[in-house]
Amino acid sequence: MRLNIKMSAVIAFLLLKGYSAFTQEVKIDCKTHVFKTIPEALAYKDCAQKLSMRVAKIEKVSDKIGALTAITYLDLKSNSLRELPASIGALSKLEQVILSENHLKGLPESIEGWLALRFIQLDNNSLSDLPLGMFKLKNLNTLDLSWNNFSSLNPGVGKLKQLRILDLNHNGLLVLPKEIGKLRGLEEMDLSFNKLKAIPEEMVRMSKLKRLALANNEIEQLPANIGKLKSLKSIIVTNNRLKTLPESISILKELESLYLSYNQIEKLPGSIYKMSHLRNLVLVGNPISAAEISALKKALPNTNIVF
Amino acid sequence: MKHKLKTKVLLILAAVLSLAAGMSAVKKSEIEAKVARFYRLNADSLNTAVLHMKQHLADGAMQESLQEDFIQARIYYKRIEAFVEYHLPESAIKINGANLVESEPSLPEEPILPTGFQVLEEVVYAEEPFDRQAAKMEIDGLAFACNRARVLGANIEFSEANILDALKLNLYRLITKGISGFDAPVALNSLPEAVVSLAATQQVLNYFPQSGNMQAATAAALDYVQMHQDDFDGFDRAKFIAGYINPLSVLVYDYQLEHKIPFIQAPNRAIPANIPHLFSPGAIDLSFYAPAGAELNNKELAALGKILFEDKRLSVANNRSCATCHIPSKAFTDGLALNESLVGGKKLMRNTPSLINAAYQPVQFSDSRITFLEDQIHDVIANPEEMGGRFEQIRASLAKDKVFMKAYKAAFAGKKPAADEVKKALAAYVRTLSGFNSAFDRYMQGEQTAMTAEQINGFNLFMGKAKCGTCHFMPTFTGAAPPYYEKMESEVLGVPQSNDTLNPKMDTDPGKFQVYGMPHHLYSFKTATVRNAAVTAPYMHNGALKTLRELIDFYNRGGGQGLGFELEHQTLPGDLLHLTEQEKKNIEAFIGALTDTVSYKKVQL
Repeated sequence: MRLNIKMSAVIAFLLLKGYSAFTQEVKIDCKTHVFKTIPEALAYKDCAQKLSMRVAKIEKVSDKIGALTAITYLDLKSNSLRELPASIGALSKLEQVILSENHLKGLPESIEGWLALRFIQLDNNSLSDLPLGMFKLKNLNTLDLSWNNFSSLNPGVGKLKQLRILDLNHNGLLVLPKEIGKLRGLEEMDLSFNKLKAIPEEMVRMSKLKRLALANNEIEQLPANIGKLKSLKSIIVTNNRLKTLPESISILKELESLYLSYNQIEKLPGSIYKMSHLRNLVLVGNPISAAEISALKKALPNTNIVF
Repeated sequence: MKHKLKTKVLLILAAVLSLAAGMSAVKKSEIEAKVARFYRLNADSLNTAVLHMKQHLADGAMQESLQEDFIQARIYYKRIEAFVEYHLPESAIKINGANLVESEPSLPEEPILPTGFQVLEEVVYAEEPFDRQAAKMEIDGLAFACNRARVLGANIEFSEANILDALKLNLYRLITKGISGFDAPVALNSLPEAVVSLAATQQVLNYFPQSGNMQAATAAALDYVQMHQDDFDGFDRAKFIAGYINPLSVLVYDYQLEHKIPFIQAPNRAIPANIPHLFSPGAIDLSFYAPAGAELNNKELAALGKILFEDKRLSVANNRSCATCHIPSKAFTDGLALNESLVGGKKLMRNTPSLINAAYQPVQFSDSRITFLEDQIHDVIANPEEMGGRFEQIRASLAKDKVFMKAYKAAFAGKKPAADEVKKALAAYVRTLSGFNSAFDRYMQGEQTAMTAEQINGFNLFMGKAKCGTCHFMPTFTGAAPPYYEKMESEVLGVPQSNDTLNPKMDTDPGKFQVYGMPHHLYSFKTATVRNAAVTAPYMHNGALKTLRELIDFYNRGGGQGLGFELEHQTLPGDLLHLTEQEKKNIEAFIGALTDTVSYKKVQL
């Protein structure tokens, strides 16, 4: 019996020691440590900077997340979220947010509080609208809205002056607001797999745009002044309804690749014969005559012409 | 001796752990702690019941025995359904989601097969031969989902406000889906399950102090349904809802006000928490279905929209306005099966729907391809077959019109109307064509004489034997699924090309399939509203059925399958409804009680 009591005492001691070690403040570097749950991060609420609940099978985000005001990085990718709590707007130091692959139908208006936000991925959700608060995020440079349900974009998008990357592929966009032309700093824009019949003339003001993807839309013509997009390196207009190209396209001195497959182009503008700097010209699936192709090949010997 | 030692160690361990728990746990109110315990115990029972069913199956149990297990497991689920649906919506789908195939738009060819009770029901209640392997698979899936709800349930943050909100939403779920047999269409155990659901509600309300009124009202509702629980077809749902559940819902609302329990702020929800009951005026928040910045209460904007609605300059040849097809005197339809296309001397592809209450739909068009009215308007104006309008021309033409510009300047600050402004104004006008002021609404708001006895019978059939209410959900009577009304269901009915039932041919319009190319969406169409159906003939996406009677007959014989079409993916059960002539008349009479007269008045801005 005595032995048993002794043993019990020893076990109790060990357990208590273990417990005290468990509860002891473990040295955690808040700048680098990636917290995996909200309660875990709440223990360091004044300094926790990174919270990742990626593929954590969560269905709701606790209101308490609003207390994590030092968070700069939040990853909630691949969960089953249908909404976010309004308290999440209190995370004013957030710089990067990943909300991909959830079931979000909307975002709270309170996200206007994410004033430090630079990067947000919202791809693969069920969004068809953005709260007006989103357009107050003046530091945002990357906005991924691909694989959602947008049929149009709020004109407020034009206020996101710092935007460099805008991804809207795989939505149901019928039209773009002319205000999109105010995004003068935009470098990459993906509008593939939508239902656009045209892009606004105002877009030619995007003088820093390097990559414009418009594949799989219903575009009948490109803006006549497309030549003003002087930084363009790549235009992808595969699978559209183009019958011709604007003459001004030849002014694009930086243009390296022009993907025009599966349109209805019979004749290319004469100016294209001057685009000796083009590396790739893809013309598959257009009713262009063999004579024109051979003339092109002759005029552009250094261009990889695929037809 | 060894045993004693083990006991001591366990006791010490328990003491240490409880100390740890005590130190870290957040102090909860007594009510919240009791509800958490209520959830935990019932989630445990649910898991045990499902595991029991699994063991039974493994032991070679017969179908009848498994049906008993099935009913028992569902009873445990019904006890915590309010909280699973509220806090764990994904788990709720896995446990008791609709028996419909889904797909992600990014993987249209890869079906996400439904799981849970509704699928299992089809298996355990199937006529011979019983598929044991399928039963095993479904029970395994159910066990996994129930365990998930148990584990995740430990993290639910209950509050007095969200407990009452969840209970109220569950009352809405009960009257819109529960008592119609929506989630137990084969077992037809909906009414006994309603008893369980109300008993659970009563138990949770009992945790609240001074909740005698709410408990008494719950007990009365429970008694009423218990008294009639064996008569699914004869159950007076109208009386149950208007006489018991709505008053109970009001008492919960009053209790919150009296005890200063805040209403949950849910801006992204169509049904706000601070409404007395589901049929209260304004219970559905129209702004939920509008894009940010829509300005719902801007009269000048709506007045401008009305002018535009009747303006033929929106069309390419100045010969068609919105009102040409959405004729106000015809409840904003055209009365035709299909209207004329502006291109090629042919008919348009689909029937012109009414615009009354169109604003309460989470998606627009029969194929659900668009969310907001503003975009729907763009699509119609720009469609060469419908209006063929070009916004640059429209803007220029309107800007020259001084009368128009006066109305424009009352609504907007710009010098020339922009395309977005035209769409915004039109959408604002269509949003005024909303009103839930039919005889049915008045009845549900307490006016007992608002519906005739025939109409009440019709409602009870609609929500019971005729199964209409399992797809046309109250109070919008669309496919927008309660209690959140955010997801619009589509159905494969097997609609015929015409009303010729002697030589029926199936309509070949692919429907929603065209949007994402998902195979299960082939021939699938949005479940349109039954409101105002008495004044919006003809029916279906192609206008093939000319009268309400033809429509009721179509459903009575089991849709397309009943007409002899081979339609593998028909979502409407192909069974006969066995409606009598009188019952059909009653349903027609009830549909007449769904005419929103207020909407016509509102047209006069």
